[in-house]
Amino acid sequence: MIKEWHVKLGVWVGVALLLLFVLFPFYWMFTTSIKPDQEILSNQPTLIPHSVTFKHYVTAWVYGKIGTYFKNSLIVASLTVILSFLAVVPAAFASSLYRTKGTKLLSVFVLFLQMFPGVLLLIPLYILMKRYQLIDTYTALVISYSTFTIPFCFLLTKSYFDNLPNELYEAARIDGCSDFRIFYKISLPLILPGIMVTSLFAFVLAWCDFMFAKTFTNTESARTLTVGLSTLKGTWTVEWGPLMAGASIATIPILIIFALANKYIIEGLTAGSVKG
Amino acid sequence: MRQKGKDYHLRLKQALAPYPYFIILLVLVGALMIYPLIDGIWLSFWQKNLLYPTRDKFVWFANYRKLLFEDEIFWLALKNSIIFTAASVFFEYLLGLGSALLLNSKYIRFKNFLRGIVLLPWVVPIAVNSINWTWMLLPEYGFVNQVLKVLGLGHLARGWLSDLNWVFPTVILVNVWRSFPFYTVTILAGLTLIPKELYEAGQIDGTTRWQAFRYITFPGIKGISTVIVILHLIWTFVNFDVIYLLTGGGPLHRTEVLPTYLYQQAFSYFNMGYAASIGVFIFIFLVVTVGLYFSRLSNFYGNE
Repeated sequence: MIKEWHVKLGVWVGVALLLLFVLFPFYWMFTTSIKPDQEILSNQPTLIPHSVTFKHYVTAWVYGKIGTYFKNSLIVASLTVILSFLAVVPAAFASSLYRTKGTKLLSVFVLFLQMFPGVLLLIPLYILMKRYQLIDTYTALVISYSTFTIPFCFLLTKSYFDNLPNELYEAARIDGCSDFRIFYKISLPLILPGIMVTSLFAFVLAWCDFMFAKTFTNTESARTLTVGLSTLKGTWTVEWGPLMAGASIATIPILIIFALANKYIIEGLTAGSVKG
Repeated sequence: MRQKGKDYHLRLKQALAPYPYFIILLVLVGALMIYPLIDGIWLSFWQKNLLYPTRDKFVWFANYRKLLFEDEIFWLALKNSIIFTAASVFFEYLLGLGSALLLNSKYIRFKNFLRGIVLLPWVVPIAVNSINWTWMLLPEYGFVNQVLKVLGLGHLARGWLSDLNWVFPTVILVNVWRSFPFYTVTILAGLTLIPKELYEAGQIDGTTRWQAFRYITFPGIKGISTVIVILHLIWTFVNFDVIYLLTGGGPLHRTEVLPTYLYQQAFSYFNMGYAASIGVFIFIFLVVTVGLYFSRLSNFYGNE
């Protein structure tokens, strides 16, 4: 017979192992980034750094151009969020307010796009960007990122609009409010918190992209942090300190976003897949 | 709400009212997804190399003939893609289910916090994860090998990402590590929706833990499991970042998968037409397998 405390112990040990498995690579990344070089490349790895230095961060930020890449990533991800919402919010509102055959079909179509693999778009988009001389511009990245943020944001935003009570619309219409006025005076302010959460999510998606940024940038001018890190990995083959510093810097915005809105993001994520 | 004298124009106006709201969305989707998709299919019938722009010509199915009948690396990449996807999703599901059950336990507190922590590998850029793992798996100074040496298992130490026999399992492991948190979080959401009364009723009837899992827990998360497994079958099959960043498809094409092969053809050799035919193949392969899976599934469970 299994006793209660056996189960309890088993669960705790299991969770401890799980956390170790999940967190160790991040712990190792961070500790490597603050160790001096001789401690990094030694045969006796130190779990806790014996001496601490922040020079790798300076090296990465200045010589590794992580600063430039960070700025690029920040701009591109923010613009992606804005563009996605300009496209998605009105459409989500309309498909929630007018439930006609046409809007239903459009919603299903956009949901289907969520499964659409970006790798298929890579070559034709590259040719498109080349034709319009968009290679190495923010524009190329922002519009290509919108291909994966739009379906996702649409799904979430629509569910926020759907949750608003129908009576609200009816009352507004009886008072003679036009549909567009309902949109920006009533619905939009009500779902603003939801839009905030969704935008954080879209930001994370854009921040994490590698494939499009790798393909559509050749120089430092628009290179994002993820691509910058991978090029540094190719050139700084033994400079693990600055590389780990760069990797830590790329992780920080994600940590901040999760510290702010962990609960809401997870709710959004699970709602998305439960409904999808 | 019937109105008398609702004339044709008014009805037309009402019928068209929703569509202005869709304009930006449809323009973007049309220009950035639909048009490129068609362009990609069209391109796959062309011999087009960016290095020799004068030699562009329409070649009908020549790219596909070469792909399917002459290109051994393509078949290797397809085989690798299938194994990579199947193995990744299988282990991700096991690990995701296990960790979700653990975190769902009544002995665990701070669940929201723990969920956020566990989700980290999935929300951090793959570029970051791949650098971390490359560093830990390094033959000389890598943490994994150093731990093996300390444990007296020095003979197991190797260049995990360069050893021909071990590189494939290693990239699968890294991919599983990165992706399983998504399963954890979504399965956990499914678990919390199962009514507690079911377990209480089960306890009264004297069910064992296994029976409770088999007849209460698992049916409760079957729906969500299907969704995340299908999503991940697609996502893993088309994933470029993980393998490209860890091994670039090497050594000796050992970890070559279709997306990395497509990328190599397109951006190392600039064979745009040929690479486009790989893209079309991926698309058809996905549509057929996922379609088959769906129809089998709906036959199996009856039409819902």
